[in-house]
Amino acid sequence: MIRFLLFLVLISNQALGQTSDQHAIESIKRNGGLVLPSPGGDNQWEVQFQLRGRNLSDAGLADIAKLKNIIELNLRDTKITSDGLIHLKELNKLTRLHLERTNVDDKGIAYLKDLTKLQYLNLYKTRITDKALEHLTELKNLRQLYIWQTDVTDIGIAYLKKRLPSLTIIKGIDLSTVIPIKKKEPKPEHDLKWLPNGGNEKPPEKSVTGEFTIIRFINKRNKAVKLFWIDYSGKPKFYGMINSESERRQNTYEDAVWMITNEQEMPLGYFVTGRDFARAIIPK
Amino acid sequence: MFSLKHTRRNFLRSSVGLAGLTLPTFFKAQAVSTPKRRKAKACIVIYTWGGMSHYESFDPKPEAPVDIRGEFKSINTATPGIQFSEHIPLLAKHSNKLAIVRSVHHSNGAHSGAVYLNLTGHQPEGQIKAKGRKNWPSITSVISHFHRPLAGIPNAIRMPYSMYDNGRQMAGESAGWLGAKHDPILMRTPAGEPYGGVNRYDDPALNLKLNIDRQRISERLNLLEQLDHSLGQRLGNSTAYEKLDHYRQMAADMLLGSPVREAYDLEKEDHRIRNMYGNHIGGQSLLLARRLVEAGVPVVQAVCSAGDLAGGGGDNWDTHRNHFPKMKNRLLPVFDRAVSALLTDLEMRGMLDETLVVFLTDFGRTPKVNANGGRDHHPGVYSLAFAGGGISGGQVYGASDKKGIEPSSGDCTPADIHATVFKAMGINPNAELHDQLDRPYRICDGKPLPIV
Repeated sequence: MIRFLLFLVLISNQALGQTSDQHAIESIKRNGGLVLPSPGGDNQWEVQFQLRGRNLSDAGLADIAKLKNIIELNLRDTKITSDGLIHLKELNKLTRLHLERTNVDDKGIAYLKDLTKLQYLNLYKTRITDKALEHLTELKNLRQLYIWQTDVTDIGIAYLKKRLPSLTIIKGIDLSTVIPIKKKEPKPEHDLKWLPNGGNEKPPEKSVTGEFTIIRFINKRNKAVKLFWIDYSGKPKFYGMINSESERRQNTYEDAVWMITNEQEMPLGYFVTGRDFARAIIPK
Repeated sequence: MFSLKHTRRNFLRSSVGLAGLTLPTFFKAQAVSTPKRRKAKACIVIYTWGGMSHYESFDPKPEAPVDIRGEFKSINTATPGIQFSEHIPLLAKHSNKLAIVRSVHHSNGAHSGAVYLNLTGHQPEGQIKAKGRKNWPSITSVISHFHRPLAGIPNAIRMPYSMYDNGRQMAGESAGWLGAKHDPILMRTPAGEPYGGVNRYDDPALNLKLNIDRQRISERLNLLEQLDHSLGQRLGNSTAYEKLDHYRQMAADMLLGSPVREAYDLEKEDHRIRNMYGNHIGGQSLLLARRLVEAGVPVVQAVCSAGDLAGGGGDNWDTHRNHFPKMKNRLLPVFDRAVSALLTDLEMRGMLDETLVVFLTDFGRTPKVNANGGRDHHPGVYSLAFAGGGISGGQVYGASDKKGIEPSSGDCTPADIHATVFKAMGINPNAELHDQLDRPYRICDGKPLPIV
């Protein structure tokens, strides 16, 4: 009940004062914009064009500016130019303004000089130069300014910093200094040692779990062989046949013991895996 | 699983309380409960699957005996008094953006329970299954419930793999009782050298084929709509049908040119930016995360590790063997480069103050290095970190003791970490959500850490 009453009160408030706002909001929506109530306070708005409203042009900006209580405005990636920014002059409650990735240049920034509530101004990848910064010197509340990928120089930055000491200017990195990671040459595949059954060098009694690796078993015999994995308790586990002159790609782990037998399951020899990918050649 | 008793008690308490309020005090209460603070608009969850060692990352112990402090040295960061491990030198330069938490702890020594706890903020009860609808929802699902995207944009995306341990898929990555609509969509990062090790590809992942011609998609959709019409009549409004329809519509929206499709095409990114993140699926995933956030996706999770632990093999943080070479050569360089690139990129685009980045992992690693040169599971204390989204950087919350065994101050739990995330995202940690049967659950039992 209380909620319902509250709702009625809100509705009637809206109906009384804000028909002109409603027109502006409808126009914003027609242009693909999004109007959100700002958490900052009653009847304050956040307006976004960067997702669905990228076709917004200077003409559309005139309609937006009729909504006076815009606190945040995002025009990223839209088709606006400096000429359109004249309409923003009236939006003197703006605290955050996104103009990044538009064709805005120094001329347009002049229209922002009286938006003294601005705290955040994003101008990255616009056409501004040091000249634009001269228009920002009176924005005493400005705390964050973004100028990556513009022609603003260190001289301009120093100039503005001197006048607005509490401003942070984010210049970004120079992309020409990014060093790509060197591609590692693939290590040449080495061959696992063949330990013939009954030979001098004995394989371990069982496998131990370790890093993942891949082994290519290549059968050079003129007969098929059987492949067994010696498990963690020392028992052989059959994995498959490898025909004469053919190969099998096997996922395994380092320190695994693999046994090769003839078709009658008489052991012929063993391989012990290492960490690296390797070939295991079953000799003639 | 759901604590009816608890919620009912809360419910009774609050409704009795409400009855005693007069209208003016009700208004006052309302005014107090709507904070004027700015909130983050998007969240990127970076999950180091397997359990990242706190010693070799954010909480080195240079004073401890060598069998505990390990092989690595510690280095100074950009913030006086904060030291990191020597193998995250790039991240050390970003310490002014990071709030490190060195005192998280819990008691789940197994991956399954630890992942569930760190992703949902709730203790696992009984048998938890990856696709269980009784599970608590993942933090990504809860965030997207409160931060709804525009139509045609997914609620939440996770990439590049699901987490598996020896073939068993972990619970905690899905929406659980919030319902399939809120499941984050698994997306395969379309570029970058994959992590070494086993990755399971049997989970349905979304690959946006970028070369399908739109005319053909439209034609197929028309056909589908005709089919749907008759099918819909036959099936009525069954939930299964609705669910199917939801995904089909979303997939179609994405294919037919939502900003998400554009974001997915990493070829459109400046090659130097791609190089900055590193040509590795870890780096490219975080680049994709930034692009998705730009495209309006409210929450993205990137798993920084191979999909399957499979007994300790491959590139994951479950370093029971060869801990030091693996950390130094395979894991930390990717993590260091990719995460640093993300922070740089978000900052210079002016996105960092509205994008919360949170680092999660299973648990820390044991103080003593074992006989295989590894460190085992250690939920007794571990480190996590936050950046952006209104978090004050250049600070450390809490501490572990001299040997890194347990918290010595500011001890906190995964639930507190979740409460902190919710607060930064403008979500009341005590908010209630309802499951498919309309039963109420309080989303979080933790308290926000004083770092927001």
